[in-house]
Amino acid sequence: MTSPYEGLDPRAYWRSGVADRDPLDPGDLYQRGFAITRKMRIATAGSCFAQHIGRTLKQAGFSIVDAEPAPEWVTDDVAHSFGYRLFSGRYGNIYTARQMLQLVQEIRGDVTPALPVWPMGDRFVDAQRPGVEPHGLPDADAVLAHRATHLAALEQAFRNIDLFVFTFGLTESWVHRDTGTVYPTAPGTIAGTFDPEIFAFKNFTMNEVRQDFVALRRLLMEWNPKLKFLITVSPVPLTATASGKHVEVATTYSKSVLRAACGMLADQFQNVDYFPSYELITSQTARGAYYSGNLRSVTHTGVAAAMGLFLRAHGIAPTNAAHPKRARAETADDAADDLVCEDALLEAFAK
Amino acid sequence: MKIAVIGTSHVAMIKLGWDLILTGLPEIDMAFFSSPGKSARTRKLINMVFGYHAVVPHPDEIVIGHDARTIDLGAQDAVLQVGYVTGEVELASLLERFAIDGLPATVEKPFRLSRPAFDAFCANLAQRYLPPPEWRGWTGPRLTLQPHPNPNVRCLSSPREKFQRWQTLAAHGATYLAARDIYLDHFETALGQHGIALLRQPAETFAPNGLTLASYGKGAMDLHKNVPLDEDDYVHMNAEFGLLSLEQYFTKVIGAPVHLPTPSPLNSMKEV
Repeated sequence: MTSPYEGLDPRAYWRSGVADRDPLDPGDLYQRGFAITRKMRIATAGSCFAQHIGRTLKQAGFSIVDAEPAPEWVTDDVAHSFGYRLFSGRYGNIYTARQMLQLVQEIRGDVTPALPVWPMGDRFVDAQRPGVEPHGLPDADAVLAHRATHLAALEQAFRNIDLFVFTFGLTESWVHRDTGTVYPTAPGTIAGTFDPEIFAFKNFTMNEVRQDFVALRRLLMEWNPKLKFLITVSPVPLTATASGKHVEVATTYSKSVLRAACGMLADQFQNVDYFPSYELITSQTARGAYYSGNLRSVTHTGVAAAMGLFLRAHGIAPTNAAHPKRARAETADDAADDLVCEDALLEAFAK
Repeated sequence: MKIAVIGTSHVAMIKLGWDLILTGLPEIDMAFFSSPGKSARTRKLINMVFGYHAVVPHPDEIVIGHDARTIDLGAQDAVLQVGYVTGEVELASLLERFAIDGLPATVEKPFRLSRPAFDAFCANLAQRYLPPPEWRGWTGPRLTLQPHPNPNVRCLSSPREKFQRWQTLAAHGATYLAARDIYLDHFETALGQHGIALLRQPAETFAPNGLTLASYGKGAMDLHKNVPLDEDDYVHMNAEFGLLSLEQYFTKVIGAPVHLPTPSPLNSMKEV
């Protein structure tokens, strides 16, 4: 009687699949679940690591939907500072599946987020995307008017996509106690005021994450039954945790929950594919080389390795930005953090 | 005071305006260097000498108002570059898509743009339209840029493609004028950081839709051929426009209180 572990593909064994691999060789970590082509209209959303994915796909010639485009003559740094060109809409970072679900429900008119406008000094911001107007707007009415056009643009876009790429970022979140409305940032971080009577900390469980994505998938597929999903887990650790645990322990918990949920979703649904950027960046083979000096931000080399792996799996020659061997030489602090990440602001609260 | 007026065919309006008053301003020595047509793009500024530096002249090379292929700008006290392009195409594309907070709303737009974002976009656009490095930070003559005039309102009936963006802008009327002022504020700031001044189109020459009043197109001249421009030329302006520009230039930019003499109608059609 032979063992079921006998004669498997080399990638099935730790020694040949990992230990014998060159340090920065991603190997065959990813086998695509379905083909992704340049003809597909692709929307991206998720945590700030998702910005790398959208950017790389765009550079590789994929058709990334931009529901709210900035004029083409506006430079990237200016566009990014107002939430343009980061994702397929100006929704900023969406760290949790619950927030993504809530956004689609709001587009459909099924939910209205509680406390949608937060004060920021004498100005006001959209509580669901506080980073897209860094100077705020003059009054609450302006915020709501901007949000209305934002939602209309998103509906038009999401109704016409073939692939939805979502990067799960966090399980920790802040919610409105009475309604369950979830926010992308803790009140008091960028805007708003934290009142424990109104807001509560929420650490989503694996089942909640999975169920939220299942519901999201169902709603988006009502607009396009042939829609496909590519999901990833951000390899970027938590900047801070409100769980009471050590941030490293909290990070492992959070990423484990997200990774488990993604695994279940990819196994359960044929139109959901999981891309292991998390595994590649955190791999022992890299020996931490994909992280910058703060041990948190992912380096250009890391991004290039992950995206190169993705593109090659889909038969696309990596661009310079996504090719690890062509990526520019980098120092320990040469993080690919030209991203807009609200969670990084939590660092400022450390004593 | 030595002033060089350089640029494209739009230099003509300044020349025509100057001809009306030059006898009353003997203290000003104004030189003109105008090059219409595509060859104007081949002119360069090298060591403060502006013009055609190529040994072999461009086949379309024309210099009007000056007897040499180049002009020494370093020998001037001030330089006015006329007909500068500032970014109307980009502004038109923006107004077509965005309702800008705080600006008069005319028609429904698919997107809203906050005022801070609009300011940031304008500042961004202004950088794009800065003149090349050799035109910046002069220590000698004071450089002033005068954008080309908006075409006159008669262009609204033109089927020509070049006027489509102006027809778009005119459709936004007050919104366009307000947006343009904001943009030019940013442009003026950006220029000022390089020691360059901006001479805006005189306010009284605008029609309510942001184009130039038709009257300022009457009498515009082709100085190369020394003939009035065709009826379907909507972009060049006349002596009156030039005079208003000079008045603004002398008072706001040069800063010298120049008393403008009463224009002499007899001089208005004077040969260059």
